[in-house]
Amino acid sequence: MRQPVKDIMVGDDYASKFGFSSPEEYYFRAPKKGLSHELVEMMSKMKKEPDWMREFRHKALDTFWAKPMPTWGNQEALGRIDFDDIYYYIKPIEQMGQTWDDVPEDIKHTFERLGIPEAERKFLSGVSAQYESETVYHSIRDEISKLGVIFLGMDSGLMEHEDIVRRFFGTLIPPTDNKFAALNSAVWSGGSFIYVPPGVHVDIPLQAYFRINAKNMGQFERTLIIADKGARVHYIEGCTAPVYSSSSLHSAVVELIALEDAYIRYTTIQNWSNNIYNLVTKRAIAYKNATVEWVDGNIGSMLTMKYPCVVLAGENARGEILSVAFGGTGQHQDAGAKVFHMAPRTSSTITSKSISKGGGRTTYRGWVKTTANAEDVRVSVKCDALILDPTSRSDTYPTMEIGNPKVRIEHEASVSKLSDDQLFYLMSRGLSENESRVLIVNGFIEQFVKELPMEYAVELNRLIELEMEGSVG
Amino acid sequence: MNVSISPFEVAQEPEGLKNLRSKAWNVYTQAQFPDRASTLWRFSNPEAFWVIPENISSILEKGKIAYRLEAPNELRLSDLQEAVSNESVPVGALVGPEFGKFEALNLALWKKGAYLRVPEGVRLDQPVVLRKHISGEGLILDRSLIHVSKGASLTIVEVLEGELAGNGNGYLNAVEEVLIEEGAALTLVGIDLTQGKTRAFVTVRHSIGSNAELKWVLARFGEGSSKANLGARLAGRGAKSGIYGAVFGFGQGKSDIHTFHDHAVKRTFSNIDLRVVLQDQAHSAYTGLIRIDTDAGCSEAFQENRNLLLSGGVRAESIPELEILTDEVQCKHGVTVGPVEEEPLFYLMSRGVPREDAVRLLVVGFLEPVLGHIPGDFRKPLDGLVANLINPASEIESPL
Repeated sequence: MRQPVKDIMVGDDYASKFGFSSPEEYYFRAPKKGLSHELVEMMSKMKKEPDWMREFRHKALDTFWAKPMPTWGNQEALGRIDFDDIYYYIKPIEQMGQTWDDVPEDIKHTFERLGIPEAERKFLSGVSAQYESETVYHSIRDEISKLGVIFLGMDSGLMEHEDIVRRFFGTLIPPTDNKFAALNSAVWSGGSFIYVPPGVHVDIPLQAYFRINAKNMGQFERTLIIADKGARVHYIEGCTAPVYSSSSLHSAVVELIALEDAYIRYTTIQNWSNNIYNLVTKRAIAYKNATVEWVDGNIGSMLTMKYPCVVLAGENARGEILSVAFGGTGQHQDAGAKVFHMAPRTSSTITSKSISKGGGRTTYRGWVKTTANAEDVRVSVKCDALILDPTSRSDTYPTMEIGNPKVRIEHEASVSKLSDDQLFYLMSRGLSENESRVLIVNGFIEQFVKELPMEYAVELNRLIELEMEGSVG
Repeated sequence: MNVSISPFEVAQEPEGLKNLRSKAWNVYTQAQFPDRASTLWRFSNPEAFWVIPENISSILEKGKIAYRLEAPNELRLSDLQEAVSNESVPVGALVGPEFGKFEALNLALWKKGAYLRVPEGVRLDQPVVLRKHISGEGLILDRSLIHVSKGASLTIVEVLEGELAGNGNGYLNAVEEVLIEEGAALTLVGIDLTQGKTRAFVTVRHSIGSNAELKWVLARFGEGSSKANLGARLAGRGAKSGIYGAVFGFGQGKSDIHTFHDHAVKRTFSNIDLRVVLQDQAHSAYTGLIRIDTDAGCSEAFQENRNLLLSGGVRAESIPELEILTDEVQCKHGVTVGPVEEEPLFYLMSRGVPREDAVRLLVVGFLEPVLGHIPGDFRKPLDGLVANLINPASEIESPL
């Protein structure tokens, strides 16, 4: 018996699978909502930070207050953010766990439901789990750490490797970069710190999982990844949160530094609940012969504004950004990519796929710039958008600024609904309309899915409910 | 808001126009400067188009514009101001007082303008030529209105000639409104042959009725600077619009072009092909928006911008934007930027064509898909002009 295939519905079962919440019992929570220099001072003291970091935070807070909100993007949604109605710091437990047994029952249970410990056993070199503002669990396989790879929570990274952190922290994304980078710089907590020594290849991915549990919470993790000369590393992050009617803010800053000949791949599967503002600044720098790849999946959140960036600073450096966005009911995925070619013989590829449905909105916003000295540059940008119903919306805002004539720049974008020809073809071969739609959407994002590690590809397909349950026959 | 009164005596005009003028004057003098973070003003500084209200009268008298129409008897060019007083002419319907700060300056103070009404059903095989000649220095306000009535069909070639001396803060501020009624077909060819460092701020809006068609060909070869906002509203079912642009920038020339295709109703079709050749220190910025509204399903929109870079100091910027608010659409855009391709050059040279001539051939060939839409008499001199402008000595090699 053939069973009907479900319609393409992202997040339909979000509430039961990810949307649960645990009691809000914490070791420490900022005494009141809102921002102040006292809060920053207290956070810095609790974390026993060096003076330079404390001053960095205070300065960043002033920058945050001084900077205007963005005048572009979804003004209506941005205007609803009430910065005074957010808890900026919640420390769920006193001590980070080294084994899952050290993690309190409630929190452990949360991550078990999300499948993290299982994935760790099966597929990963190291795992970091962040709950509210702090990393609650952290581990790395012995054979990886023996190679000299450092994989720590950002706070521990600062304590144990202050010299490296001080050299690179905030250099790619200074607090003055934008209002939300300033906010993160002032109240950052958690995130990952990774250093891979010269020539070391970390073949199995490192993973971090971010969970917001509380209402009206702000999560401001800060990640810094440094791949030294000739090193290779793949980092994956996943994000979820309970479904509440009040909104929470997630505003991360991620800096990747790929030194000569290094390779970094950063994979994100963002599946925040539909009450989360996801306003993130991500930037990488690639030196001579280095490669940086952002693989970016935006499935959840209410409003995402995220434009992963690669600065190609050395000859032959290469950047690649591959992204998928799904804008469902009540969602606006304002995502994109930025590449700056600042050296000769650099190349980049941007591929963006977006799907909007149920009144949702997806936006591609990109920026490619080549400086006057960047000769023999190649750029290819391709954006494809699918609109599945008449009430949904898709925007494309690419910017290209070319300062040297010895370049090859290609940009292409298309927006369409599902192709009638393809539907007809599949249906003429006996598939139902729905099955055909599912197949076509599946094919549309395949280029992205096949770049994910196997278990993530499965996870993503499940997210988009594309399984052809019981349809064999 | 303080209502300040325009400092200029306006002739006996209908009340409606007087109101528009005073509204526009308020917008010009009171409205904030456009936000430079918006794409439209990213590559040009709005302050360059601001003239202090007290200074306007002194520089307005120094710039001159003359209009001349070469057409068969059934068409007559009228002075826009006279026409407004005698019949109902929809001045400001497409570019009204709220359109923008500098468009408002035009609406508030224009005195002479061109008005061409093409009567219902008139079909002309030969192109009609509208010549605009500018001279002097200071500020020129040029306002035109073309009204193509139901079922009419013709080609209008608009040639802009002359030179506006670039001293002081004067410039050419031109606004053109074009109404194309149901079932009409207009081919509008705009050729900009202004000399020297003429500075221009140009705004054009078309409204295209059901089953009407606009083919709009633009050619601009110069070292002056221009900021152009060119748009068409596809207002009736079955409306079609095609914009074909050829830009050749050289010297310190700067071209900042914005196109807007506004699909307001179902079953509308638009296409843009903008080809830019840059040499010396020329700079081109192109921003284009295609918007397909919620109720404008079953529409198709295409947009292409190609940039050919001939020498080292040039800059090219391109922002082709899409805002698609419904699903039943086909919409594509593409951008390329690069030097003359090595392979066809090699092919031509292997057949004995000297490199310099081969480059000329390829550049003319690059512009052909646009210039090919221009009627023969006007086309040939342009080819010669392009070939003369190219300086192969400055050519750079392809990276591939």
